[in-house]
Parts: sequence; C-alpha cells; structure tokens
Amino acid sequence: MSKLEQCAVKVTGSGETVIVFLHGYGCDSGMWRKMLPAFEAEFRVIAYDLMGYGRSDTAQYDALRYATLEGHADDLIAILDELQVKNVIAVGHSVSAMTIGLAARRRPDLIARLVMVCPSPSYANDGDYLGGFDKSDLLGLLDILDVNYLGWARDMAPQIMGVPDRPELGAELSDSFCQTDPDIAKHFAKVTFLSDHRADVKAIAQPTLVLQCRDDVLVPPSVWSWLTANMPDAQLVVLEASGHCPHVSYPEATTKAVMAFIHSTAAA
Amino acid sequence: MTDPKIDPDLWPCGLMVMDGAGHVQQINATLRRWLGLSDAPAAPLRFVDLLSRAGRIYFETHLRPLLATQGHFSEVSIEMERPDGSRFGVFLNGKARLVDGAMAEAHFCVFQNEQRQRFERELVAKRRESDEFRSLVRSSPQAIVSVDFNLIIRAWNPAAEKLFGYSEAEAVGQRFDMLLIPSEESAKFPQKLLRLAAGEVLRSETERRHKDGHLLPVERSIAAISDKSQEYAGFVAVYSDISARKAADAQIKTLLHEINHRSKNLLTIVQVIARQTGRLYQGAEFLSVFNKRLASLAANQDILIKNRGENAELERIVTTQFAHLIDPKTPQVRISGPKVVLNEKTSQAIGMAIFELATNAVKYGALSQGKGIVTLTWEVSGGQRPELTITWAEAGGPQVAAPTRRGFGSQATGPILESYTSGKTTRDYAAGGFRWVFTAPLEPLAQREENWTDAGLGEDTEAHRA
Repeated sequence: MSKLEQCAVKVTGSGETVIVFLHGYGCDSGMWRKMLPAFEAEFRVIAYDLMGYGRSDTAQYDALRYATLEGHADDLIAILDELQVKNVIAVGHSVSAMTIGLAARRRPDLIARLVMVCPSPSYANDGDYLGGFDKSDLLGLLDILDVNYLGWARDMAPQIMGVPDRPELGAELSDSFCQTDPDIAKHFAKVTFLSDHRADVKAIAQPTLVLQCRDDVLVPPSVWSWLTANMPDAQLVVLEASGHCPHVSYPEATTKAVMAFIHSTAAA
Repeated sequence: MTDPKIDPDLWPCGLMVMDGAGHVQQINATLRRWLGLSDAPAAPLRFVDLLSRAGRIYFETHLRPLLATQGHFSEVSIEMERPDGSRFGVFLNGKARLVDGAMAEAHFCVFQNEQRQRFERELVAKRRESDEFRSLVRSSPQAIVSVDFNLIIRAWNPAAEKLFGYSEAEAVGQRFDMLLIPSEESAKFPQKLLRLAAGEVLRSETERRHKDGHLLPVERSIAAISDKSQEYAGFVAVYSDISARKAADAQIKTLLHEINHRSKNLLTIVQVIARQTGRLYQGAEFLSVFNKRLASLAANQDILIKNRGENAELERIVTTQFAHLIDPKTPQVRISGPKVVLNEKTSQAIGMAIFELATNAVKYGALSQGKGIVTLTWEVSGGQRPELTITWAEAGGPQVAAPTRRGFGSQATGPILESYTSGKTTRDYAAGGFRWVFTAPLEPLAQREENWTDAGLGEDTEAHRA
C-alpha cells in the first residue's frame, strides 16, 4: 500500500508551485477545509491525514515508528517523493509545524519554504525558557484523554464493532469530527506535548513564517520571541485572533497572512 | 426582577455563554458560586481561564475546534479551576451558534461531578495499574499460569506459550492438571492443592508435559490466590525452563565419570611402563628412562585434552613425540602424510610407539649422527576397508643390527600397538637403515572407544615377547 493511500492524500488545485498542508494534534485534514479553496486557485494543493487520524489507515499506526515526530516527517518525505514534487511550501499547524521542520532539515530539496501555524518547539517550561506549562499540566492532559476515552469508547463502539449493513452509522461517524482511536490519541498527545524540538528548529535554514494568535493559551508570547530569536530565517506574524486554531476560527485572516508570506518570499 | 421560571441564576447547574473570541459573556450564579467568582468580575474573563491548565490544552485542541466545525460536544469530563487554584470536576456540554461557518457564540452547561470524577480517576488509576501489570506479565521471561478454584486455566502468558507449546487460546479454559501434570504425578496432586490452599508456597524442580508429549525439566513456584474475602480462589504458578541447567549438570556428571575412567587408564599404562622399564634399567638410569617415557605420555595427554578428550590428529601426535629429543623441524626429520584423525586409545598407543622409535634413533640410529635422516610417512589405502600404513625409515645412520634385548621399546612398537589397533608391525634391520612399518584397518582407529582395560598392557603381553 502506498503512502498516498495510507495517509488518504488528496491532491487538488493547479499551479506551478506545490503547497502541502499538515493538520495538528487532535483532528484531521478537514481542519483546513475553509482555507483550501483560496489556495487551490493558485497552487497544486496536497492535504492528508496524519497516520492514526481521519481517514488514514490506522492499522498502520506503529507506536515505535511514531514514537517521535521523525516517523511523521518520514511520511511527509515519502509522500512528496511519491508525488515527485520539489521546492514545496509546507504548512504545518501546531505539532506539525515541528514535523515540517524536521522534514525540511533533512530534505531541503523537497521543502523550500515553511509556514508554521501556532508552533511551539516545547510546551514545557525549562529554566529560562517559558513554554507555558509545567510537566504536571501536560501529564494532566493525558488524564483528561483517559477519562474522556470512556465517552469516546461508546461513540466509537459501532465503528469498532463493524456494522457494514448499517452504512448510515459510518456516514454519521465520518461526519463527526476529531474522532480518533483513544490509544492513538493518547500516544500522539505524549509525542506532541512532551517532546522538545528547540534544537531542531534552530537548524531550519529555509524562509519560515511563524504565524501566532494574539491570544493562544497553548503558545505564550515568550515562545514567539524565542522562535524568531533562534531560527535563522523566520518572520513572525501575529494574528488578531484567539485560540489555537486560527485556520478554523479565522480562516480568512490566516489565508491572507500565508498568501502574503508566499508572495513576498517568491518575489525575493 | 427576572421571572423565576426562567431566571438562569436559579438553575442547579452552571450556565455560561462564550463569544466567538472565547470571552465569557454571561455566567449564572450557580457557576459563579462554584467558581468563587464575585458577581461583577473586574476584567473580561476568557472561558479557558476557568479551566485547569491541562483542561485549557484540551479545550483548545479538541473542544473549540469541535464547536467551530461540528457545532457541539457533550459529556466531556474536565476540571474547572477557581482563582485560588483549587479545582473541581465537571461534565461539560457545549453548543455553538454558527454564522456563515464561523462561531458567533457558544452556550455551555456545566454539571458538577466531583464524586463521579473521583471515582473515574480511581478507575483510570486502576486501569493504568492493571495495564502496567498486564504488560509486566506479558513480558515476563518466566511462564505464568493462573488457575481458578475449579482447576481451569484462566491466564497463560507468552512465556508459557513458548515453554509448554500451547497457545493462550489452547490453554485457557483447559483443566490445569490434565494439560500439564504427568500421569504418574497426578495422584499426589490433590494433596498438593490442600497444602496450597492452606497457604503454603510450593517451590521445587519437577517435570511438566509439553504439548508434543515430552517431559521438560522446570523449576516452579506455586502460591494460592485469595479473593477479597480471603477465600481460596485458585493458584498462580510460575515456571522457568531449567533444561539447559539440567543438561549442564548431566555433562558435568559425564565428565567426572570420564576423568575417573581416564585416570585409571593412565595409571594402568604407567604401571606397565614401570614394570617393563624396571626389567631393563636400574637406579639412576631407570629414573631417567622412566621419566622420559612418562613425558611422552604426558605430551600425548596434552593433545588429547586440547582436543577435548576426543580425537587427535596423527601429525600432531607424532610431531609431539620428537619434542623432548630433537627439534621436529630439523631437516633430519621428515614427517608427512594426509590428515588422519585418531581416537584416544590409538593416539596413546601410536604416540608411545613413535616415542620409542625416536628415542632409539637418537640414541643408536640415524639421529645419533649429524647426517642421518628419519622419514616418517603415512598413507591411507582406498577401497571399502581403508587401511592406515605408517612407515618409519632411517637412513645415513650407523650400521644397525637387530637388538639383543627386547624391552618396553619393542613392546610399545610391537605387541602393545598391535593389540590396541588390530594392526600389524614389521621391523627390518637392513644395512642401509632401520625400517618399521605399521598397518591397521583405519575405521576402528577413529572410532570413539568407551572403556579400555589393560588387556594387551598387562602381564599377558609377556606372551607376545619374542
């Protein structure tokens, strides 16, 4: 099975330049749906579900392969290689901002520019570095996932049991957003919130847009300034927005900021 | 005055409205009281400020995207946080009003569920503990089997699958005693169960039946399992495979046996050498000859030990015999022949014979002078029953004549060797140089022999004396 099928890769739009979108922790590629039409008019657009999420082939989720973001970066590289595209603009939300960074470091031929939406190289406070959370807060998130798994397990039951004779159940589930196998959700939560990629982002040489929200509890301003101070070629744009998902809540403003970055770096 | 029928402050649940940007627009008295908030908050509050820090991440990564896309969520268990940092657990339902695909505002109802959450937390802790414990049992290198009070196997870990050959599916549900206990032991089983139920822990080495029928040596510990009311509920048995240790024990036993037996053999040879040497030599001369012969024996022994008491190569055996007399690499000695491997008994006998020949050559024969040459060759004939022929030929030495006396040397190069190998020896005291030829069927020379007595070495060898 090719990576394109495994990760439910969709290629839409047309244009010389290729842009790939990676969703963040918690949901799937549907998170980008309000933004994609604007990009499809100008670019060849690749969007896919991270392994373990959305319509990816979750049976392929190997806890060892995906124990670090490198596994997801491998997937991105495999997808771009399989599609035979180069000099791509990679857009990653939240944890996937680190994934595109890892891939960009390893394969500068594939990824020419990066857009990091609400990135944080490390959520945990560490000495002078203020990631915004103590380790115990982050572990608390795993507790929340644990108890809300009880509710999810019930919601997921028809899917787990497999009801081919009742397709309406399947349709209902695919409409309900962010349904994820609880074990995968917990595993990816650990990978997302407990890892530290500060050393990795320092080595990203490509032009990078760091797009943050004015009011995002996950990424405090201390992280914004750490990133611009430590990344070789990063520019910070702060959206007048709240929350951690501007591409969902403020798709127009987010699109505008990304487009502005692409056009300005293309001209340069 | 608000109509008491619709006054949100009178409802026994928390009610709250959040705007699209995440700010709290309205919050009822019940929720304010739970949160310990004053009636008129000084600064605009964000909804996330009312949640625990972990809850904030969950809200922003899961709940808010759900509201913005699906428009609702329900029965989410989460913790709220008071300004003083204390927390309480709630169930949260949320519903958004979407305008043009964007969230205009969201309504939440909040049910305090401290008690249920505490229970949930306990459940989670228990589940984690049992998950951890399960993975411990699964990864254990020792076979772990749990059995209920009806003797039905209830748990069977991967190590048990490997040890006994039955898969988990095959073993679970089976009667423990019928599956594993050898029939001759089964009579004692009920008594053992009583001891177990009385609280005794059974530890012993025993044998258990493998799926393919063979008995395998195991070390086992068995202890009773008691339920919450301290009643006997079955037992847990832990097994480890001790077949490697048992095999090592058996090997040590064999080795001891062999050392004993080999020492006796050596003593027998020493006895014969002493006796034969004593007939011809006395005093200091006896000691010197006797010592050399023992050294030859010891050299042979070294080769055999290096070959782990098994077989030795002919070339090594013969070369070693020269070592005490002359450098075997000297051009005066020419040794050649194909690779032939001999058993212990033959090695000893041929080694002794070559030692005697070499001693003789150094004393009286070709090696007693600088220009003499000894050629030692051997070959193996073809055919169905191959024969080994060893030829000792001296040249360039002094004139030789048949010896006037026959001592251990001629015994070792003649009757003793023949009786050990069912071979033949011939001697030729030709004027050009002494020649000795030994021929024997090869096959018995290489076969491992169990016991060798002093037959052919003792007094009755005297009969062979010419």
